Amino acid sequence: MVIPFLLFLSPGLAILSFVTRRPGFDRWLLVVHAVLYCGGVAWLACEPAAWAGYFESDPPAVLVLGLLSIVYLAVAIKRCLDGNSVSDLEHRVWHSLQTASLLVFVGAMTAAALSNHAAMLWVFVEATTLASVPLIYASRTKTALEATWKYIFICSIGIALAFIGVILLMMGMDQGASLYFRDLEANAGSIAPFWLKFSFPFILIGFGTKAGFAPVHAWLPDAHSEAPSGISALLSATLLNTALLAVLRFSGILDAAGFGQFVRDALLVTGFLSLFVAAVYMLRVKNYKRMLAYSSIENMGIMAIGFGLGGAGALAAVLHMIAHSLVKGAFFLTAGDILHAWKRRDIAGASGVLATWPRTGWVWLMAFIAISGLPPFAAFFSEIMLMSALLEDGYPVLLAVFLLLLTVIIWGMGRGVLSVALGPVRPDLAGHKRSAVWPQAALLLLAIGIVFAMPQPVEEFLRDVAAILGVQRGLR
Amino acid sequence: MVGEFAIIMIGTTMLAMSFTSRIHAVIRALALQGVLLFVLVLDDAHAFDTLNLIFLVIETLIVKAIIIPVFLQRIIVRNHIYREIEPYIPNFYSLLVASCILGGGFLLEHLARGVTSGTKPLALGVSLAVIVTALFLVVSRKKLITHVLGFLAMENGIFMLTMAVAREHTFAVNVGLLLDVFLAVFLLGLFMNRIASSYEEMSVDELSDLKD
Repeated sequence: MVIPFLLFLSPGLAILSFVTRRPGFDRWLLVVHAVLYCGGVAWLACEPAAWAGYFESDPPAVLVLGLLSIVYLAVAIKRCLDGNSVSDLEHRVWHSLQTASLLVFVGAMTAAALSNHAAMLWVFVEATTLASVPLIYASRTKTALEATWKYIFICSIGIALAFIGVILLMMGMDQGASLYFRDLEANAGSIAPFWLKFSFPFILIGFGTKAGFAPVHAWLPDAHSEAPSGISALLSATLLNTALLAVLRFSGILDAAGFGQFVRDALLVTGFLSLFVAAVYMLRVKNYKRMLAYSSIENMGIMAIGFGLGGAGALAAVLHMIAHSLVKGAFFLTAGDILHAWKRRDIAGASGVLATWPRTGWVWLMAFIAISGLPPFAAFFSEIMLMSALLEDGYPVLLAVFLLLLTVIIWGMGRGVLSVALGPVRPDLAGHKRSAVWPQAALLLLAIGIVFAMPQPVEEFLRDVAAILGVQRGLR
Repeated sequence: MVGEFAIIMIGTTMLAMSFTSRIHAVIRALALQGVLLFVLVLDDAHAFDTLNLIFLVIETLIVKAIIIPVFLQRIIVRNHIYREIEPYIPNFYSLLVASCILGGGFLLEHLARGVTSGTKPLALGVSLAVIVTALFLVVSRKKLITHVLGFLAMENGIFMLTMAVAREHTFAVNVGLLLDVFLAVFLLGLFMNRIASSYEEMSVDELSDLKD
């Protein structure tokens, strides 16, 4: 029962929002939806369910949905607290279209995470692209149009490549063979190895486009900098996870067929390439929202490396996924507050946040400490675990490269973050209405709490997720 | 036999697309591809049930061969797009690259012949060549409209790829139709209208406000 509830709640409320067209009502609608959604996911976590043959909850899906529900709740509350009044009709229609798209977007991600069928997964990942287009074009400026065009064009090519991957996989299978992931894994040995290996690069690049892997990440900084900050938070903290989950569901098939080493190599190359691209751009980026977007590319790279290593590395990647989602959600929401008051996207233009708005400034600095992997935040533990996994699996050179790239990224990002927090103060902003900080602060506290007060069942749950998603079976 | 002829003709249309310098010629090539895909569907007609066949015929003969080309022509006329393609590299080199890719497709057909049982290796090799050539055309042209044209050619390549497995997995064809609908609605209908009114020349050089 809970799966249809989660799936149909979003489109149902989307229709309601579009019919009523009242922005004040929409804001409360989102909060109510987020609370109900959190409840539904919690229910799903306690009691695994399946519905209609195509949807089934397993630990990775519950993890992705759990992160989605938490970040979404924070975004919905933030929107409700900071909402501006919208009066004229054209803006009201556009506003309700935004709310409806956001609801459908959440619904599509839910369906994608719960899909247990290769083609259905592909369909719903495609649906996330469709639903998020109006969200990125929210401001209706020329630059937003440019970002939206790049997003839709690049992601469409990615989606098409993923489709080719699925077709190539089918070529290796017997007539009418089932495309359910559990059957694919069980019968992995009978799929022709040529087609299996041929399909994986297409899958990796295709879904990797949405997951923000380099070199197919080009849409990500543009979309993240142009979308409203709540949407950027959701894109970074939840959409990328969903797409990564899609990649890993397919890599499980190759793993089961005994091509674990092939998958591991592919994921390691992708991960390090993403780290490298993030490091290069982090040194020259001038816009703080784009800076956060490059940080997302970096963190997706770290997760790819972790899942590629499997075992302890996969557990590190799972923990890192949690850490990144929570912290990046908080980071983007804070960036949105700064953008709203300072009206500048460039690092040089938005400065002196700490002196003008101490609480926002502190959350901004704490989010930076959390994302760069310093204690006591979860990313510290996940990165330490990942480094020891790299060493244990016999990759000392890669460990050195990893440390070097991470140092460059933290240095580049630290420069920008500190300039925004501590730069020259703009006196004209003293009287500006302050934005709420506690949704972001709550996300950051959760990123500390998850490691220091982790209940035993949650730890076992994370180990389950790592065992399912990580590459580990039959390396050869 | 007829099917193989159609497959090779589709590969040849990609060569034509790579060296023409007129947008109208590309649109005509796309329409021709639609007709050839229809021939391909007819060649495999016994693999589908009636409802599927109706959808496929509508998709190829009406949508791909008539509606999309007419729509593209209207966009060009209405937005006064200058009729030249404006490639980044000379047409001759374009043709050279496209020919190499098509040759690679035939090589892949040769390789795949040994490992495939039910699927048609020629359709596989040529369709992958069409997809790669289309992607090459996207990155080597300046105008946004030519990007969309390249994208549509890629769609045709993917359609051909699904036809290669249609006999074993009819399901794939239906999902492929969904991809086409997604693009027809979004890339063409909604977005070209907006882009066209905001960017006069409609060239990628204009899409450079966002960068690092």
